[in-house]
Amino acid sequence: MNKTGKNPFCAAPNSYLRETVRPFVRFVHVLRGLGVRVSVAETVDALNALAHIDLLDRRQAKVALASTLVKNSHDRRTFEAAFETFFTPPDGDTPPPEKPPSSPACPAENVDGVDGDAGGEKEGYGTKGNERDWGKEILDLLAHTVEKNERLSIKPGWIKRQLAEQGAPLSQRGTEGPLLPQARAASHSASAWLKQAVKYFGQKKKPFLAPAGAALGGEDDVIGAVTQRIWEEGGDSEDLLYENMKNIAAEDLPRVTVLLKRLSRHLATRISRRYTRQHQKVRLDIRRTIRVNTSYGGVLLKLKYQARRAQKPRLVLICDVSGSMSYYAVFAILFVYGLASVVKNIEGFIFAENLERVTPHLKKGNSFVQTMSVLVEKCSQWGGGTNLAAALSEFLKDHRRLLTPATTVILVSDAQTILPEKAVNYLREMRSLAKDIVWLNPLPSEEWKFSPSIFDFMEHCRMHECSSIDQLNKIITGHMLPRAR
Amino acid sequence: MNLKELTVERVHGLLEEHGYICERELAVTVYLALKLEKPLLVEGAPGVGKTEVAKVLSRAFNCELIRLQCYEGLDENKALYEWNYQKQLLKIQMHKEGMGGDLSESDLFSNDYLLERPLLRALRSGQKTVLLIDEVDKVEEEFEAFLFELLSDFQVSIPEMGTLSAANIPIAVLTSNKERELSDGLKRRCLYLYIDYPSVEKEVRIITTKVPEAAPKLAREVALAVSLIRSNRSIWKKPSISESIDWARALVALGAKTLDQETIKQTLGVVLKNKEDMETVTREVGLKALAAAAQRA
Repeated sequence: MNKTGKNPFCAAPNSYLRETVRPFVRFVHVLRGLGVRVSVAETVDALNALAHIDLLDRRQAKVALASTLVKNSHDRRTFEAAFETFFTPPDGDTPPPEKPPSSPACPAENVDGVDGDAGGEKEGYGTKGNERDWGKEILDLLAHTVEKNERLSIKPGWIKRQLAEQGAPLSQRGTEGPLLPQARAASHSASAWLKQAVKYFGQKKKPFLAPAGAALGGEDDVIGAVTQRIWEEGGDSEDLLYENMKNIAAEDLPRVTVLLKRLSRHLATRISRRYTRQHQKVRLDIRRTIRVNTSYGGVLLKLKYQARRAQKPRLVLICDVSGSMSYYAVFAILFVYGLASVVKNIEGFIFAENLERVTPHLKKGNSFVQTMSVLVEKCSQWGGGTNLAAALSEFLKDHRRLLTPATTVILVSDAQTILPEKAVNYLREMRSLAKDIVWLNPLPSEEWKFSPSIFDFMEHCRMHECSSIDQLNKIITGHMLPRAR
Repeated sequence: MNLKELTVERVHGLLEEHGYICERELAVTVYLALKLEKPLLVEGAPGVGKTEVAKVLSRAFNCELIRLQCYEGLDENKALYEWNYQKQLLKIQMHKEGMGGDLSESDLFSNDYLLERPLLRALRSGQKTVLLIDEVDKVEEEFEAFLFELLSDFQVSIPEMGTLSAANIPIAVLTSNKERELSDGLKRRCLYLYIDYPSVEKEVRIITTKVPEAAPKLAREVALAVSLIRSNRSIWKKPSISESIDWARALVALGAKTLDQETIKQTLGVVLKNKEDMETVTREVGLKALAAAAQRA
């Protein structure tokens, strides 16, 4: 808080308040444009938080905004870049800090209080260099002149100059562009969109397409600058989450394996929860209660509750390893391997032109490389043509007993198969026997329209686009196994 | 506790005085949670000190710590309140046999028959309390939604008694291991704090604070070795701060003066808790290299 203990936002005239909060609201808009979900209530919390900290202290202000606006560790990096870009003059030609004038619209006691702080040498975060500039900037912010507000946040001219060197202004771009299909194909989420945008930006050195609805005046410039900044700062450890699985390099396999194992454990827990959960609440077991209380003459002194029965999940995984899936075959096997390491009742199959059971090869304790080499050596399906109908027919013939009302079938395939009509019929039959069929399709959903049979398959299963670990995670947590009611 | 007199420096000082070594950024968030009287949602890997935040706040402000340990299946009967059915039945039986006086329905649903669970106890406490809702990611979404009213207005609705508001707004701390994503509604009501694994310097401070018997050199070696293990991306379960502390304690108990290859081999199980990780460290890092890296301290 400032030294006077006064809240600079309280007791201010409406016009003053509007001008003061405007830059913060713009910052919130920038965050939203970058895919960070920020509610109005959180914006209000942020303003309240700023009123309680030392506004001269840039790091304090940053922490205050971060803890109120960003509620997800994945978004923290975006926030950091947005904050640095938004609140720091990007070209380093900051005019010398000037003493903030007392605005006639600003309550004198507030300005005096903050001003008093500015004059002294403070210990803490805001004592040197940029920290002091930040303090001055915030003081200017409170003085709320329009031109100073512009200087405080971002310099549209600078950003535009930078972007003009690389292409047309963001605001003039259309809604379609080279990035959009790629971004859509790669992810459902805005954060993943950002990652893809960063990647594209980095590779092509061209401005990327702003997300729909993000072009809000000058904010798209800030969003562009933030994205560039994130790219310049390099990738982080979570990039693999958003990477298309066909691009995963061999040296990243151990990391992917660890990520998938973690995810598989999550999936196993979810499945377990779904099957064991009989009731939303612990319920009174009337029969046992009456029985145990007969010795008290029927007076219900001891209550007995129904217990949940733990049931183990049953999973059947059928993975396409045909030629068209060659890019994703490793991903599919990694997924099977990861699940097999945490779920006991799992049956794994691979198919191309025929079906092969791989459960015996998924031995616990074997590393992924060992498992993969055994699978490649022992199985003959790799890289063949796709005949889903033959595979499902064989499954129904030889492994029908695996399909029970408690079985969830997970099918990993791009649905590029011969005899799709037959395959649809077999899929229908399997659906009638199993609890659920979840189809993970690595093809971008935009391309599904080019394979009409996909829509026939979708009538009998839940199909999700899935080409990255992040997407798999979202499917698992959000769609694949919704909680039982 | 006088919230008006709180400053960031004071909060930081209090946390460190009570053995919680942290950066000032963490203190700022805690300070804001106290000032704004909003719940603090703490996320991070297991063992980085999330629960400890609540414990330290309890000690620092001399408040009772009321802990609600979350688990799958937790419901309001176990978290908020339950009626004492047995006592109610006895009262009815006594009334039927003419042993009790007048009996109305409101008598049966009065405070006498109310069993307070942690959340209600925190709200009705005459003193300010620290309410720790631990591992909130373990509960179902329904219970999470049930917490909304409590966390936004510090009040709960009991059908038979109406709305009960907090006599003293508790310092609420929620922790999550991120086993699942919490709802936006819950997050919106909280201030957010993410605790990451500490830097080597910070970990040395933590170890020397928690294990004063450990020599500074040994503490530094442990911190460096743990940091090196954590940096290996193939590790399934990264060692937490509490495991670093346990390792330092184990080394002190064994009388080890330095972290050499043989000592690491004997005590690796203290810091790594599964076979795969031990094999990974042995294979990819190498115990000799680990000892050499640690001893460079």
